[in-house]
Amino acid sequence: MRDNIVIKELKSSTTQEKAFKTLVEKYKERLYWHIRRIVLDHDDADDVLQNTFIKVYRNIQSFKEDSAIYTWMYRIATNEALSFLQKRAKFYDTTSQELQQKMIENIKADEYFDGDEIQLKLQEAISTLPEKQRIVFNMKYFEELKYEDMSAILETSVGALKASYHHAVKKIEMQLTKL
Amino acid sequence: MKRKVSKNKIDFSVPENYFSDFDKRLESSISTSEVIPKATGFTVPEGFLDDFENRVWSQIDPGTTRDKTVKVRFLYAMSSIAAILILGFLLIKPASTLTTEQADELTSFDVKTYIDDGFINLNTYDIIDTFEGVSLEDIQMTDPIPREEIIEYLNQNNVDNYTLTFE
Repeated sequence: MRDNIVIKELKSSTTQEKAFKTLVEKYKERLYWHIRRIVLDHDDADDVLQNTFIKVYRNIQSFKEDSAIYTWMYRIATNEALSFLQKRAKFYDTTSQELQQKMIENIKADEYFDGDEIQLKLQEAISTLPEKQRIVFNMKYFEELKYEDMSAILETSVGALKASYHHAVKKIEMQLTKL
Repeated sequence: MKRKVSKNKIDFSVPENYFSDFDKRLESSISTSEVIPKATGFTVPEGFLDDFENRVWSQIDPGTTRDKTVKVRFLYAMSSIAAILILGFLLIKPASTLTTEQADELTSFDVKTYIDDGFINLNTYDIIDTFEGVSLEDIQMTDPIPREEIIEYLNQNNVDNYTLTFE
């Protein structure tokens, strides 16, 4: 089913349940991995993903369709994940950088991480990046999103995204080659 | 080998079409890296996403879908009543404690509405969460309750009988 039809059905009370499930079915995996790369922990990613779809459902009436629903949902997911990290940093009364270090420490004992040494080093390197660069790197390198889509999601110019990605890659490569 | 060149005003030159495909060349040179692995090592529990849509749907109560227009009653209306209730429940002498019968009259909807209206432990983040995605233009501020109505409410609820104690 095409997205514009799903949106119409989602806005109608008689068809919204079916349409909502169709939408979730279509995007759950992509959004899960997008969120997981930000929050790192599986259970946290699960919570944030659920909240993301609940927000999508609750705000669908205000979705004006001047952008693709795909980019709109990505934006909600990104905001939810970042907001989650901010709350957690506040809860632990720590800075976002210290929280990133703590999250990397937790990864080592995470039952849902079976990466090797280089993959762990990669996560450490990513965690040292500024927040925006970290997200841009993940979206481009792993999710292979188009710059135009990323621009719509992050509300940043394509040029700035390219520069951001370029700097991120260089920093990560430099850290990994220190091994 | 002689190559065609284009010249700029100060006689520096670049190969023909150098700029036209610059973006593509740059992108392809950095889209993959020999140093950075493509796999992250993250895994998920088996079958985790299989029934995800039903799990999320079970958390959504279609009856409580927010209207486009969100009526905010933080001003005099609900905040006055909530303040009175909280004072009545917590600060005032036990003579006015809620009886079992009164408590039974509270439906789960009343409790849910009370919580939904944000009278329990609201901090900045909760408020942001509650109204995230809602345009200010869609927030309709209700008119303040006239002073006479508040006095009438207080009279009807026999608030004069309560004694506030401050320590």
